[in-house]
Amino acid sequence: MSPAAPLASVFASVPCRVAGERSPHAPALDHVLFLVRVPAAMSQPLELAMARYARGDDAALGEVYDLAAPHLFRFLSRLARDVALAEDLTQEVFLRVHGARASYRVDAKVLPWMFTIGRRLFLDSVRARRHDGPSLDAEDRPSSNDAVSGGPTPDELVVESHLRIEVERILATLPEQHATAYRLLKEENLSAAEAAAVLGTTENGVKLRAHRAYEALRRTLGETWLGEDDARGEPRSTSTARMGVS
Amino acid sequence: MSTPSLPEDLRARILARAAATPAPTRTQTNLRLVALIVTAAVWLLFMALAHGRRSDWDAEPGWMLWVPLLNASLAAVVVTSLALARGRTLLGPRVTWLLAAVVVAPVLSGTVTVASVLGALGSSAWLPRAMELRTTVGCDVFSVILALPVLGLFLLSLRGRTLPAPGIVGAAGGVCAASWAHAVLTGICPWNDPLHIILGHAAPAIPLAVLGAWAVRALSRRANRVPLRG
Repeated sequence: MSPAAPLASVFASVPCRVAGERSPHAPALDHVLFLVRVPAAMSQPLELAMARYARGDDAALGEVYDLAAPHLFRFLSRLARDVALAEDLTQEVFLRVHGARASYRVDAKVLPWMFTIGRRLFLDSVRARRHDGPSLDAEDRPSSNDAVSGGPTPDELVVESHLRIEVERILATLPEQHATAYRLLKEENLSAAEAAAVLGTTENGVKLRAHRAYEALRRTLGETWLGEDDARGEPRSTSTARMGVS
Repeated sequence: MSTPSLPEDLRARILARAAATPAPTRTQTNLRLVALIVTAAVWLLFMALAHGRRSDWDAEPGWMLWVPLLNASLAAVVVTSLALARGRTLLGPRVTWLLAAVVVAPVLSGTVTVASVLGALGSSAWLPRAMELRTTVGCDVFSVILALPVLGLFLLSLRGRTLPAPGIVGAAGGVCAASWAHAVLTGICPWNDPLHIILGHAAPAIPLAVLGAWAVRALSRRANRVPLRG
């Protein structure tokens, strides 16, 4: 572990974003906190781990993997719709991050960076082997969002599982940029600026693409899902709410 | 049906491959970039000195030469900084900034140069058409000769980077090379005809931007190819 790591871990436990505010560690850190401004991104464990890794702490790569890989693999699985390819892409993304770790800035968000690398690797790989194309095995097709909270009932889980399949089916028919914009904003909870950086477009551009995907989902799902709720005069299902379709 | 889970051995594979692959340090990365910038500067200076300063350097008003020279150099510095920047996102500056630089830099350089010439010389700046065409094609060729190595060094500087919009970054690289060529040409080319300046000094930015966009996209596809299974 690098000499700066203990300080970084203390920073992680400081609840404030701006140095100089009081914290349980304030007496010991006052002389540092008054001089150092903690970037907003550094309050996240992933960014802290990446910063340690960028400074040469090789052991931090495991921590970066544990924090980032689930999100990255889920994003790439849905993008590629091929588990084997998503696995290869995930590995390649981490190797690219490893190669570029010296250029990491301590105030940079890690996940949008990784998403961008993964998406670019996917697009360029598919273009290079367009004739092969990504296979979509029904058994491997990704489905439900695993970031569900709030204790859904078994019925809701079944509905959500079916809905997720339907959403993925509709997204697969949309232009890649529209579907990815929707996923980044609605499923990965990136800000419009971060999603725009991933897609290499403007914030308005990413909002417009996500809106078009959203409208396509709403139009198609409305006929089979929302329409039933509306017809019965019932409130919108919690499953559709969780999936960002209202 | 749930989201596919992470393969159990993936973590170990990634850690093993990372441990076996040396990554450049921050110092090495910075030194490499500085070496590329110095090489480009040496190339441009060598070509400028080899050609010699423009024949009317002492005859024309100083501001007619220095204003467009400084403006072209400033535009080149701005475009270079934007094209090479990683920014807070590590993904480079916003696309809108890059697009603005690609469009504004050559237009601004050409406009300021033409305005300076017309302000100093008035209607006497216009040349006969035949001479204009010959000199213009000559400056086009010289501009591309000046810019191509700079564009090549720019492409080298992108090694190891993953770009969200490679085409736009490549176009910015082409305009960056063209802007430096324009700055050098402003100091060595004595033809003050406005149409010559537009077509011979500023217009090469268009084919160079297209070439840069194509080259970066092609290199990006080649570098990012991950073998697909199955």
